[in-house]
Parts: sequence; structure tokens; C-alpha cells
Amino acid sequence: MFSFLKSVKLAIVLIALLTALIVAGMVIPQANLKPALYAQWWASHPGVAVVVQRLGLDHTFTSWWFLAVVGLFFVNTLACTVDQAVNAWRLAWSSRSGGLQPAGAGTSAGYPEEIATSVLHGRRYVVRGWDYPAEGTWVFLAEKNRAGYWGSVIFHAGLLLIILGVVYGSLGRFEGVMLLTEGERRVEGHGEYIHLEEGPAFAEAHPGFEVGLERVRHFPPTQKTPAGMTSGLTLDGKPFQLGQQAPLVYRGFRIYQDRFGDAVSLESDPGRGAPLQFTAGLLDQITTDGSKVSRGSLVIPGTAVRARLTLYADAALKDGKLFASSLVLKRPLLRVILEGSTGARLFQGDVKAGQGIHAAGLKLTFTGASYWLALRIRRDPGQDMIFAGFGVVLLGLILLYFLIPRKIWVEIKPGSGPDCRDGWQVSVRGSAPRHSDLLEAELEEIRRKLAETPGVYSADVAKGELRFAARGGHWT
Amino acid sequence: MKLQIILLWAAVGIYVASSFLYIAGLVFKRPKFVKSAGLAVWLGLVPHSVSIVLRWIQAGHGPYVDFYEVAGSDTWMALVLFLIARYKFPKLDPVGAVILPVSFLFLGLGVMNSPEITQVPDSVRTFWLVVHITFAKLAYGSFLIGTSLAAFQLLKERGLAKQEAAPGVAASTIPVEGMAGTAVGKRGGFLDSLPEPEGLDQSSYRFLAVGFFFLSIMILAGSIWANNIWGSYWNWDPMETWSLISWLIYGAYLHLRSTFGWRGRRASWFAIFAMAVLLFALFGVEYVYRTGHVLYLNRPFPWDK
Repeated sequence: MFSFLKSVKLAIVLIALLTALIVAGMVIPQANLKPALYAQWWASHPGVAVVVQRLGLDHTFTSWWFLAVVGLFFVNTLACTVDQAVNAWRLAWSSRSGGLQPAGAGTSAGYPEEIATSVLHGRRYVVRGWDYPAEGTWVFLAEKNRAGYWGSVIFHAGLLLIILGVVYGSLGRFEGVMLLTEGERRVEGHGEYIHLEEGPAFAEAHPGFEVGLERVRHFPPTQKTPAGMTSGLTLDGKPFQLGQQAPLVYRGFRIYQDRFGDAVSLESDPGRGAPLQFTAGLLDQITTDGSKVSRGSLVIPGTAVRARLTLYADAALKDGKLFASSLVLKRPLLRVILEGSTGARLFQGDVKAGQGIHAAGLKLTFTGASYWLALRIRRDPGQDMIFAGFGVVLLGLILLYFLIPRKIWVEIKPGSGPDCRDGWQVSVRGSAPRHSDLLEAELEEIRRKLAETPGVYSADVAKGELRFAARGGHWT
Repeated sequence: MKLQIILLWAAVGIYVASSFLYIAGLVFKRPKFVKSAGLAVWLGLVPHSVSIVLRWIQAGHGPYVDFYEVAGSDTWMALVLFLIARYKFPKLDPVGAVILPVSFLFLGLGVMNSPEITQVPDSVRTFWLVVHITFAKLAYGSFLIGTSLAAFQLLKERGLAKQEAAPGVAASTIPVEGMAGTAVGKRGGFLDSLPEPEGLDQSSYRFLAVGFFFLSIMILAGSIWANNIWGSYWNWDPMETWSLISWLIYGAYLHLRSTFGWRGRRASWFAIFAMAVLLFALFGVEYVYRTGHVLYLNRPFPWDK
């Protein structure tokens, strides 16, 4: 079972499957990602849409089968990582398991040893140990970039950490959108959000701080920056400034500015008791007849009259028609349509701030306009784990591709044959898990360097064999 | 603005000439043409670089927002990487016959696109955005060179196969400095100027592996950036998702090489396929999907231009 789970073949199959599923999720409209686009697609392809919905292809990234593939990928990566860690340990410490004597122990091989170790040290190699396979023969192992053996292990461990972070984050995550108009205060809590997503482990851990929106400030565009806005907030009574796309972090929760728009304050006086003041956020932002306006409707409290409101935030007359070029509040003008319970139109007219209308037995005054702001408040406990995973992945990649481990064995044995007299024969061999061509190039360089040293009188660089004369000897 | 456009068109003109010289040099076996083509790239980079700097000053932000800026800066990075690579490995020079035409086509498309400046809020111009964009350009440059090498590997292998099939043609073996392998081909043929297929394959692998590293940093930095400014490290936006798909495909390529010993033709075709996906992620997504990858920079101002 473990050999199946740690199989790289399985990894390839799972990578291909994941890629195919993600591509499918990109080709088929996703209901949870782009609801408007999905509704449009559903209307134009009703037959296919039913099949897609039945198969769950319209929510690919949250479907059980996608999550199952990710889960299997996690298990496979975990098994591979364990297996690779064992291999890396063996490779990194094979000098010990090979029964070599520690560096510096035993007798010296003399002049060739000094030359060889000096050349290898110059190329950042460290002598790990010695062996004496036969009388008068020395073999020593030199290594560099040993950390590179761990590259793949660390990279895959980073991937595991990211997947764990995503799972942990989705279990304990919280995200909500809270709507506030200028001057309004709310105590953070489950019922105060217009949109809410909570992970199963969030357990209603609302911080319960008081949020107030003091003022929204709008900045016109400049030559180099687009229009911007900031919001003056109070959190538990303390003032904070919230910038565009620059969140606040408060008690472990991140607070962002999301959408914002215009709100109108009205006062209604049905003539029975005290007038009632209320504020309505106009959520519908549209362009009509070339004008950018905000719209909304509400039933006036205490009556059966419905008010349909259209706000021209920056009203002006253009060709005899009412016109507004933006939703930024400058010269607000409110178009009011009052309808009875049957839908019959009772009144239509335009009012400026401070003006009122008398219709259907009530007095309705447009007291002023302000902004509403949607605050997005979120917490993702897995976030730090994910970012730590990112770091581990990068470290793994650096070790994997920029620190290729190399081992070099140097064998020194007494020279034989008439040419060698009292000298030595030196052989240089090496191994590397990747980029063996680069190792070969380096071996050739090392052999060439050794061949240039005084005392070497015969060198076959390609084979890696050099013959040294006795100390003080020279080429003959 | 006019000066930038004129400079970019001048660069396009020089790159067209360089492409012509590269291709003519290889087809008609004129090494001098190839050498001149390399010098032309240096020459073309002068107006190209000046134009990018002028745009940067004028827009007040780096060249990363619209297609005009992205095409200009991505081709610049690819060409600079190519010049560094050919300096280090002179035998890579013929690869310019692929990189130059691709570069002038993209640059030309970019210049023909609207050069209107899209403003970017100060708040999004963070350290992570710089990292994201820098590594995106490095990744695309490395992948372009790696894929060009893979394409030449296929050409070289095909040429050698044809040569083996034709009796009586002697092969020459030329030692290659600075690169793995030796050049083998018909004496005097254009394939002579290339290293042997194994060398091209190894070099392609190295560029693609480094590109994978850069692509990883690009995705990771983009994710941190998105989390900081929008509160979500992953939005399943088409462009980021297609980048992830590209990453998975390159990941599969590296696995297939290291574990299943994919080399030569198979690996080269896979590299070309991966590049096609990457190009779609970079340039094609915006034509197929409504991606907010760049437009998000101006969120949440649906009513302001």
C-alpha cells in the first residue's frame, strides 16, 4: 500500500487529474465564483446546464470529488516526502554508512593527498572520510552541497504545509460584509452582517467590537493615481483610518473597505405624533440616460406608501435634462416617486437637500445625503501556515535547483610499472544526482588542475588517472 | 507619448532586421549574419529601454498594467536574458532565430494596443507587487529561451535522423565551449552551429527548471500581495488559475524528466505544449474571460474612470 501511495507514477496521474479538473472549472461557469455569468449561461444553455449541475461541475473547486483528488494528492505527497527523506538521509550520510574513517584519521597519503585535497578545497569540497581498501592504497571521499539532497524533501514538505494551511483555514475561517452609513455604529456580531461565511470550526468566535463609520472621504483622480477613498472608523471608540485596498488588523481580524455608495437621510411626518428620521443606503448603482445614479426603494415606516428613490449625487442640467456625471456627492438631488399599496403612483418630483414634499397625507423631507460603506471583516487562521509553506517551498526549490550535491572519490595507490618508480597513481571519480554533465565538466577541471601540479609526470585527464613521481620528483 | 511609440517602432524595426539576419544566417550558412543579428539585438534594446523608462516616468508606475506595458517589458526581459545566455553559452546564438520573431511580434502587438495610461492606486504598489511582476517577467523570459532550445533540439534531432538516412554524408564532431555536448551535423550545414541534441535538451531543461522556480515565486508573491490588499490569497481568478495550471504542467515536466527519464523529443514536445499553455495564461485569458487581474487594481471604483 505504501509503495502505491509513494509512487511517482501516482503523483503524475494526480497532477494530470488536478490540472484537468482545474481546466474544467475554468471552462464551465462556476455558480459560486461568478453567479451573474453562471445565471446568464444557465439561461442560454438550459439542457447542458442541468447535466452540469447534476454532476456538480458548476462548483468544481468545492465539489467532493475535487477535494478527494486534492486529499489523495496530499497523501501521495506525504508518502513521497517520507520516502525521499529516507533516501536523502542515506545519501547525505552514506560516507558514515560506507564505513569510512573520519577525515584526518589514519596515515597520510603524502604529497598527492595534499595536492588533491587542496584542489578540492579550492572548489568548496569538504573531505568526509578515508578508506584503506588495500595495503598502501588510500581512498578519500569529498563532498559539496550536501544540503541539496534535502531540496526535494523540503519542497514537498512546503506543499504539504500549504495544503494543511488551506484546510485549517477553511475550517476556522470567517468572512462577513457589514453595511454602515456615515454616523452609524454597530456592535460586531452574527446578526449584523448582510453576507456571512463561517467555517465549521469558527464556533461563533465573534470578537464583538463596536464599529462606527465616521466619515468617508473621496479623492478625485490625479494625473498618476485613480480616484481614491478613505474611511474614518472607530473601533471600540478608538479612531482609525481605513485606506483603499489597505486593511486594518484589529484583534486578529482584518478589516477591508469593500464597495461603497450613496445614502439618503429622510424625515417623514404622517401628521400623527413625532416625525421619524431614517437613512436609506441606495445599493443599486446604474447608468440611465448617460447619468450615473443610485437607486433604491423602501416602504416609509408607519405607512403603506412605497418610495422609489433616485439620487443624482452631482446634479446638473444638460440639454434641459437632469444629468449626473458621477456618484460623488457634490450637488445631491433626489427624484422621489411615491406609490400606494396597489402600486398606483401618488407623486413624482425632484427635491434638493433640505426640501420636503407633501403628498399622500404625509410630509417627506430630504434632509441630506451621505455615503454608505460595506466593510469586509475576515479571519483566516490558516493564512500564516500557508505563507510559511510558501517560504519552505522556495527554500526547497533553491536547494533543489541551485545546490546540486556532488561526491568525489580520490584513490591514491602506489605507482606500478617501470615509469612509477616510487610515485603514486591517483584516480578521480564522482557522482551527482542531477546534471551529470556539469559534474563531468567539473571533474575534468579538477583533473586538469591536478595534472598541472609539479610532480605529476603522466596524466590521462579523460580517464581521471594521474601518476605522481615521489615527492620532489619531476616530470621526465 | 509619441516619442515612446516612435522608439518602440524603431525597436520593432531593428528586431525584424535581427530576425531576418538570424534566419538568413542559419539558412544560408552565413555566420557573419548571425553575429550581426546579435549586435542588432543590443542596438534594438536602446530605443526599447528608453521607451520603457519614459513610460515609467509618465505613468508613475512600472510597466505591468496594460498589454502595451506588459508586452514591452516582457519582451525586454526575454531579450536581456537571451543576451546574457548567449554571452555565457555562445552556442545558444542561433536560438535568436526563434526568440527575435516572437519578441518583435509581441512588441508590435503591444504598440498597436491602446497606449492609454491606466492609473494605479498607491496602496497596491507594495513590495510584493514588485516581486510578483519582476519574477513573472523573469519566468516568461526563461521559459521562452528554454522552449526555443527545445524547438531546436527537435530540429537538430530531425536533421540528424535525415542525415543518417542519407548514405555517404560524413558527420563532423565539433567540440563545444561552454556547453554540454558537441555539435554533430552535416559538415557546413546550419545544424552545425547548434550543439548536439543532448546538449540542447540539457540546456532547455535548465532554463525551464529555473523558469519554474521564478514562476513559483511569481505565484507566491502574487498570492501574498492579493491577501494584503483584498483579503484573499486565492480568488480563482482566470489569470491566476491558468498560472497555477501552467505551474502544474511544468511541475509534471520536471517529474517526468527526473523520475521517468523523459529526454529528447518527448521532453521537447512537452516543453512546447507547456509554453502554449503559459502564453494563453499570459495573453489569451483576457480575450476569453472577464478577468479582474489587472482591473482589480482600481477596485472598488466602478463609477470612476
